[in-house]
Amino acid sequence: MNLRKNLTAVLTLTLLASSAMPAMAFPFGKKKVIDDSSINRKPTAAQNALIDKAVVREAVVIKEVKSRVPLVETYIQNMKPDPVMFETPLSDDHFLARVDWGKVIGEQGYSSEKRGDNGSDAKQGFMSKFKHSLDYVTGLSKSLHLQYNDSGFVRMIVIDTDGPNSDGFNRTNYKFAYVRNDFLGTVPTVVFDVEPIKPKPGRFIGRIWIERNNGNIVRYSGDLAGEQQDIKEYFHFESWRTNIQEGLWLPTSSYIEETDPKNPEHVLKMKAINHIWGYSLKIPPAESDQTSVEVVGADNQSASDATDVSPLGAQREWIQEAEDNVIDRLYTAGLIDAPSDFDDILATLANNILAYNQIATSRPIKVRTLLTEPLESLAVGNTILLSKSLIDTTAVPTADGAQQMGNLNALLAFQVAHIILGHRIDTKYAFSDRLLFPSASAFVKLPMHHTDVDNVEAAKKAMELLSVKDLADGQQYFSLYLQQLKARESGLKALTAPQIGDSLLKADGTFWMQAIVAKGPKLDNKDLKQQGAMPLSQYLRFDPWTDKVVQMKTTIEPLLSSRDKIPFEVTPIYLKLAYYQPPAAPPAAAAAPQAAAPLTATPVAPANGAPADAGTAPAGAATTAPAAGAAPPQN
Amino acid sequence: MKKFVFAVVFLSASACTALAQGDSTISRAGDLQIGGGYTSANSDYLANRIRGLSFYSDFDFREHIGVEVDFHQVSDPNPTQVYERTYEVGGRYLRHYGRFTPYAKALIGRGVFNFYNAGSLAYNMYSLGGGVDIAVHRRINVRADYEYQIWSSFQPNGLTPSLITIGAAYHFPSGNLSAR
Repeated sequence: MNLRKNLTAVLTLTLLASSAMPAMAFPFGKKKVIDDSSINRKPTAAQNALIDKAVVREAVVIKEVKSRVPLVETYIQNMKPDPVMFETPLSDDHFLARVDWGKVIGEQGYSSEKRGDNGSDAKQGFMSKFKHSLDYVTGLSKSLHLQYNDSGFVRMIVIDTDGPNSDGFNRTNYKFAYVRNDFLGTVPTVVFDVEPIKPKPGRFIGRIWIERNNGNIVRYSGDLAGEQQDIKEYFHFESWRTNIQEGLWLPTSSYIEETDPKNPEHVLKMKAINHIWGYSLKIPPAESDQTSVEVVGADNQSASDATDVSPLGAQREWIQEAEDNVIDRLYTAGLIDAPSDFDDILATLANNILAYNQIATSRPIKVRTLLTEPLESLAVGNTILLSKSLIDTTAVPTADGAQQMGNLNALLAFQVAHIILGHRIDTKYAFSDRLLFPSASAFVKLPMHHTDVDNVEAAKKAMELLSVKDLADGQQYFSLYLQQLKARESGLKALTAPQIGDSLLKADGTFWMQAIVAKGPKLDNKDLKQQGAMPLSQYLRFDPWTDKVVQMKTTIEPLLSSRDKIPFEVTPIYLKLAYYQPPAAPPAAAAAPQAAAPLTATPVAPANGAPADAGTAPAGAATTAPAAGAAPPQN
Repeated sequence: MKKFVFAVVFLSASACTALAQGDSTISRAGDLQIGGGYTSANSDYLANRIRGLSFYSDFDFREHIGVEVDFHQVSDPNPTQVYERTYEVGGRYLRHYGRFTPYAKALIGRGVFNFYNAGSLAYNMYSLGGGVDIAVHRRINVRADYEYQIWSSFQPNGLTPSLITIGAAYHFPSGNLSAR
């Protein structure tokens, strides 16, 4: 065979294939195209000076994030078309991690406890080993499937990590084009388009908003270069920063979205959200944890002349010690909020449930907020924890606030029932050494969920608690909420899977409080007067520095079609930014004009001997006018 | 030519380490297909064409770069007992155009030649080639492949068989997005 002839054939074939390739296809994949017209708008000298400031400030942000190791939570929804609602979640994923800077930005994930169907720990032994072998094979096969990378989402909290100090955002790597001046909330910004000079994988392509006074980048949206179709892809994202301390703008949240290119109706392939918090995790002073709830009627202990503690009193103190330890540990792990005014409102609602039912307790109920996305609640002794998403998705705005109140009462009643029934915490946590573990192990080391038997018992008791005259009307709303959740449950496995507490759902997919479903009207997504549940991030935001939750002040957006109902869904982020303002001194705050809070609660007289005023409304609720002016840091 | 083959393999390997840079939003280890086919070859030894079976597998760990493992066994249909058997591994460069994935490949390996009534001998060999994979289903690819082999130590003047393969492979799909 003629060698030359055959080699010519091979080379011809290779050349034919390569001739069809676009320039710059190798080795970094597709080059992302930027509109040349914007790149030609060269920044002026003043704008260049601002860009130089931004480069310096970006390095400061990276240094701060490195030193503070905040928490990052990512919640992803994969979408599918829906004839009525346009699109609904097909499946979802959830990651919770602390930012861990090694060579490049990464994450240190919070591991979740693995439970059996009945809530007990997964069984060990031969079957377990067999399962592990099977898992290995499945894992191998799974590695050939496209999978979300936790660190890829965490990466979005900064613009560029590819530099000597993980700070690749500079003039050597990027070129800038002026776009316009803009206001984000009350913050003046200058907007630039940014493109990498060399299309290296991981470089940012998109738009940045630079705050005009100090050169901080407060918002950026775009994508990263170096995508390899079907092997390694970057998704479009938009990230926001807030001025959480004097002169310090730190990452707060990101929204990620990709449209399905194969869908002619432009249904999303996926959308996701990143929340960042826990920049300064310190145990709050004890006073702030006590003052608000003492009002409700538990002040007789300190007034007592007793100098000794009875055996029962000692036992209660011991249990209290364990509870306090657990709450403090959950706080330092970044999982629950700092005590806030909103928590006090919820505590009042919870204590009102007791009051309406003529139930006396020696210790008032406290409520705190779990800052994570999964829908779950738990009771640590006399402290109820509701996840932020539970509060958000139940916050259906109505003129009288009755729907939100009804939903909250039902959520709280379930855990109040656990407290009344004595489903108490393991007192081993009274020994503080039991709580010496890495924060990322908190879910495993602090399993606070109740057993199935306890949950059945509590659900039954909760229905009793909610059946009193003053609370019974609210049941219809929670019925709608549960129906809406049921309609979407198949696509929300991660959202409905509890990490530390109790789910709303049983293992069989029915609700613990299934009995309440029959108390309301049938869910009709086409009925615009009916809204069962709200999107995530509907009602609360939190300060990523102090970890306090705050009720958002928003307008009621009228529904124009069933597509405007987006229950349990991730939604884009739009923040009204403001410069940091130190907390005002209490007297000044009292004198300042304030917008009415969207949700308020009036304490009912406690039931310890004195008859409760059954005619008093438990809580007055009102939606508010839109908030205006400066707001504290937002998330 | 040998230097060229090694350069291609080396480039493939070094591209793999560069992957560590930049955290992507989604990723997977690579794209895998395993298949077999019918091969017709010019043996460069016999006057007639010889035929047989091939098995191949590709693992594309980058959008345009992958590794390939090939096995060919082509035998004389006449009773001469002459056959050529090769085991090869190497890199391939590929492009995606809808359902079509043209590629060029460079492989090295070991070839076994069975002589007529004289036993068999094994030789080092390498090959160049190319072809196209066509996705007829998200789990099934069909392929047309041409391969030019060089058995340089084959006496007296080397052996340069050329093979044409038509095959089908199971393709492991990228699947629905899920958590790692």
